[in-house]
Amino acid sequence: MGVEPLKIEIPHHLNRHELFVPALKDLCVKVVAENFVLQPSFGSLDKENKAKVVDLLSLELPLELVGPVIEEEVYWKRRSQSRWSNCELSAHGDSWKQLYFEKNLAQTLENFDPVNEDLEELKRLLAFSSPWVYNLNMKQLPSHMDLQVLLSPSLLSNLFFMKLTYGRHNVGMDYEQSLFGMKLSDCVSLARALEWTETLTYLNLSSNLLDDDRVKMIASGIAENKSISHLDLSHNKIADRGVKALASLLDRRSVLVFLNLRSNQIHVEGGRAIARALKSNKSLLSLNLSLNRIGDEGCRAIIEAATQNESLTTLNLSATAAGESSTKALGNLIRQNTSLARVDASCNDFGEEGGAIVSEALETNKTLQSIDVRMSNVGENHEKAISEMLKSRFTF
Amino acid sequence: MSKENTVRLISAEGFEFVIDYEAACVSNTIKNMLSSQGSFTESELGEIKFPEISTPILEKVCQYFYYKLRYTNSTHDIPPFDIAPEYALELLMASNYLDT
Repeated sequence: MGVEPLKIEIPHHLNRHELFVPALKDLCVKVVAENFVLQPSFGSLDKENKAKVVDLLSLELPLELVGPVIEEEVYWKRRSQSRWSNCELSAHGDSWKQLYFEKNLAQTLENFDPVNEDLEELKRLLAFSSPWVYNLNMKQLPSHMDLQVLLSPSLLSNLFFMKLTYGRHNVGMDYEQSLFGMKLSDCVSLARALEWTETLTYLNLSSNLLDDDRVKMIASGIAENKSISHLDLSHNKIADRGVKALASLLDRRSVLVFLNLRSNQIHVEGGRAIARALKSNKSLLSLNLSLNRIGDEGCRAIIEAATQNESLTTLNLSATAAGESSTKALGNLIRQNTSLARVDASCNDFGEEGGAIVSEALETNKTLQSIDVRMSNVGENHEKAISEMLKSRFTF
Repeated sequence: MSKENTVRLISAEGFEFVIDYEAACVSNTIKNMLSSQGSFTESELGEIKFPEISTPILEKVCQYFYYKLRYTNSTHDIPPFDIAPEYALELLMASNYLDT
């Protein structure tokens, strides 16, 4: 195929057009780039010329072809930016190639239509994207496809982070409640998938309208799993029965490090179940129970259990309707516990007495780095005293 | 082409291309090899061996030399220089080596 030479015009007063014969190198670079589909290889080309070819490569080249061959981040940056604005590189391992494969896969899954599209094609996409897909973040999954396919280690063998919300983009006036949330069948397939996955470490099922039955199903899958260390079930509808199932996951064999149950419907009994689990659990580092109406009794039980717990470093009981007996327990915790570094007890009702208890207990504690009692009626003076004490401890 | 102004370029398979000195010097690499002050065999015999460049590629390279000579500083329109896709990669590596 012929390659057109460069034409450069000399300014008018010289009254002449000069034409340059391009270097053979440049002619070849163009031809290699244009025919890359037929010959997807750089051979033993040196870095400089390889970069020149890559610069000219089409962004429409089939993914299956170029994935294994093109490592150059410049190419994947161009390709990513042509498809999406606001690319957040840090969410994708700081790699444009990873970003492209992960976002491409997530988008394909979000829009997969099992009626009109072929599942085998999707599986192929999963398989050849696998080397570069570590995180998946999906905001909708209207196909409600079998999650065992998605989490199959033979397809996506590197997946370690998954955030899945069964929502719906741009619904507008077509809103229907049935379009949102995880179905029981989804929980079943997820539970089965979780039994087999060995790579999934972070699972985020926030905002899926999960109720007790659904959570119990999911918990049964996690019980068989030894890879998940971070579990986020915030913003769901989990009540006491569901929480009891989760609490049973926190036994001596548990590998769960981070549990987020913020904004659910946990009450006293749920709180007590968690407290019981905390007594023997050795894996949990961070527990978030904020925005659950656990009540004073439940919170007191949790705080008492946390006092003896030697692994927990972060505890969030913000807005849990904790009150007087919780403050007394909190005082004991601060005096005795040496592993907790951060406690959030804001938005409760401790009163001035509570403020006094906390600031007095803080004097002997050497390990707490932050304790938040704002909006808990402890009074301005105590709030100030507490914050001063902590500040002075950790300023150099 | 008089004998004194020609150069022999030998491909990996041993095929000899006899071309004008001027054409060969389109390649900076060849130019340096032929005009070096030291006693390189190339400058004495007027022949250069290219064990890494195969015959069809070397042929294309020579065609390019004449194309370049013919159309440099030409006032006419320059026709395109055809490169078959299957040779493009090898030709790129050869032209990179020959600095042309």
